[in-house]
Amino acid sequence: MWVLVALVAVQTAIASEFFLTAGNLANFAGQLVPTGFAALGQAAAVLAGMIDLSVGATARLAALLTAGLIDDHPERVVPVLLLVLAASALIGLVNGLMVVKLRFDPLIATLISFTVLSGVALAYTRTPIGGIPTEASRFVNERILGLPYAAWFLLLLFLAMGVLLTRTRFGRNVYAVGGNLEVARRAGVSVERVRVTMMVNCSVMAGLAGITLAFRQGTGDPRVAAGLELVSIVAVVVGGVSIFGGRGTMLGVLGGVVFINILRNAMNLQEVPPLIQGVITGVITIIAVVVFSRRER
Amino acid sequence: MRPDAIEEESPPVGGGCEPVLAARGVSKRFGGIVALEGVTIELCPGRVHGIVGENGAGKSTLAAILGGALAPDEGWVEVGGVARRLARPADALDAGVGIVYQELSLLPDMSVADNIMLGIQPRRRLLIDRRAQRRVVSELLHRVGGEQVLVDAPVRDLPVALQQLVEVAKVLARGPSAMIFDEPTAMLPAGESAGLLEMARRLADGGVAVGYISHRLEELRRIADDVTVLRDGRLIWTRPASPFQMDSIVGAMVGRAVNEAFPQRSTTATSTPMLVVEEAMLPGTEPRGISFVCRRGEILGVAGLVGSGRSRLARFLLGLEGDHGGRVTLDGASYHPRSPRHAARSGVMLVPEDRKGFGLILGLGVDRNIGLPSLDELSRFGLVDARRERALAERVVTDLSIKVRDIAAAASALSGGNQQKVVLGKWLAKEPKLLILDEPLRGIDVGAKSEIHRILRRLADDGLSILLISSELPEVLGLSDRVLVMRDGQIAAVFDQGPFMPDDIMAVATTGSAA
Repeated sequence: MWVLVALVAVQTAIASEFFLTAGNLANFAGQLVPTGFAALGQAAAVLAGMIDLSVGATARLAALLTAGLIDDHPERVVPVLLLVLAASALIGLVNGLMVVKLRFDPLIATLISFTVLSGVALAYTRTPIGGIPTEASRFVNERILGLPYAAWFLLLLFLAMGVLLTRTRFGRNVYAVGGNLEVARRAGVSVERVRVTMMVNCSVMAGLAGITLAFRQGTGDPRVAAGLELVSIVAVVVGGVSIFGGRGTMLGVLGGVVFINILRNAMNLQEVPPLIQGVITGVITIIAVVVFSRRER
Repeated sequence: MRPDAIEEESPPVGGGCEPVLAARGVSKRFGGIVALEGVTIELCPGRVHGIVGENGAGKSTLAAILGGALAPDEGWVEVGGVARRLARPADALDAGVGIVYQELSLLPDMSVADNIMLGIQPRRRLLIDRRAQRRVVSELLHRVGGEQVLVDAPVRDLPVALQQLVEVAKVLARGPSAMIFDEPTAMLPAGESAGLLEMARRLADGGVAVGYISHRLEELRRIADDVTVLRDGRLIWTRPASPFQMDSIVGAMVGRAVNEAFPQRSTTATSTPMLVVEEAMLPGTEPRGISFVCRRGEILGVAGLVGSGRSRLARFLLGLEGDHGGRVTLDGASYHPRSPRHAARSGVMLVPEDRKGFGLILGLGVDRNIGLPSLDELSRFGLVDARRERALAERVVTDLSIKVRDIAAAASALSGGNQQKVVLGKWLAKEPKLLILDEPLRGIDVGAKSEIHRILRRLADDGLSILLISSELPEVLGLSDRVLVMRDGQIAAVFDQGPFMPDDIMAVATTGSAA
């Protein structure tokens, strides 16, 4: 995965002298952050044998609420962020309970949430709403050691999730649940708790994606985060996580996130028309998945 | 209840101990089928309690109930003399009951150590203490005689016999006071089970109450202290495992009911061979391979226990096991199937064991299900002629007297017996030469069974060759013209002439030699 990242980076560096400038790298890191959060949450859900199609809708609602409720008032930032994250967690809880209590397939459960949340967002506003005070947007714009604070925060979460998954009992249980539900159950693992937790985590990460999107844009755009659920799934799969669960690493997912963003950045710099960009992304995704699944065997 | 069963039944005995684990009067039904009825069993510390019975006798259901994977409809489970509600496997584990399941419950991608310690890893602060884990796992592997297993290797790289040891270590890691082995050797080749048997014995000697489910009698002869026999979900008896009792086990397992309901055997069976298999090398049949003949117009029964290779034989004849050498001819012509499609074209078809999974599309109408394999013949210019499909379906429905109000009704609306007739009918419409039936009467009520028996006999009389694979011994014995007995992937014996005695066949299937 990281080899592919390097290949695209080298090719673009040669083709465009702008690519390696500090400005572009920071901009790139900033672009990457929202998809990074979304992919982090999605990856953990997929590892536990689920999938979350409501990521984009959750992120959008989070972005609209963040901008709309803060509405350029610096003193509201902290309470609003707490509220938005709590709301996201609630969405995840509902998703998780639909899966473990009502026994809905995760695909169906989160498709329902996607539909409902898209409607709620539409009802909330159809035009850009609210605003973000500059003090708050420093989180995504101001850099330290070349990267925005938000990017460092994302890396920290990736590291934490990596440790959680590989070094704790809970993490092992996640892999077990995704690998074979019945085996996990027979080993005495609380399958329900694992699944609900991972759904809540996924929605909270989607909420973070929405918050950072709002911060970057400085307003609540009703079209924001469209298709983020699919982008996150692509990043997860390209990053080598089995879509059936139980297999994959956080390092791989981070690679997947960097890869699809660097690809987008590279194509923008080289002025590839948007229509062609989709095709190229698709073809490269196929290649990456095939290469990875070959290596697995 | 059969009259003979009453004679044999004696009050359940517990071996005169304080049982660590007991089931009291447990019953379990699946739909209309009774899997267990009023079974009481007690496991004592320091003793190996063998649980035997034919396939479908209720052994695995009993294990699942004791292990908290299934809740009984009636009765209860006692752990250490106290009635416990084991709603989940986790509850049973907490109570000290460990089950080594029949099918391995390991995660192939995870390492040996991670599998064994799943959910109970030693921790330092919040993180897994990997060094301590490795140490604990090494000790456990040593205890089960698997010193050679690498603790960090992924489980998928291990041979099945070693995976089985890992499975046992996983249960042991949870420190059980009672342990149940559910046919642990079923997946092992003969000769590789000795280590497992010794271990079960050692565990009991160390004070654990061991329940050992098996249908290999020689295993029980070696390690069991007590034996319980189940048949048709009922407890037949529990007795100390003295050599004298071992001899009566086979009789108790099969019962002595002679079923008069089977149709008269054909007298017209010819000796013309339909299928000739010579030294077919299936995986696991080396070095001799499998050889047998199925004649035109005969029902050839295939008996044997689960894992004896019966289903593999069926898969081989359908082209699902590949070609590993040997000669097969069908109706005089060389027959080497590459796929079920190829097999069907040559005239070999299967009525599969899993009716709902592979036999029928439940949501589709009866007519559509019957027409499915014949769509090529029913189509003109790529379009299915609905009228011809309906005509075909109506012919089959009449022919097999399938009870269905509307021929377009979904197959799911039919009873089990009628569903099975639809599966039978859809292949008969293709005019097969050899029909393979894998457990054709599972989950079918008694009335429908004898009707299907009559149909099969009629088809054979009309010249069809039938390979009948069944775990229900009375069915194989009552229906077949000749009986093949399989064991450990080999054909252990062929019985050419009835009347077939259940005891003889069970003896061959379980021990490999006639009683």
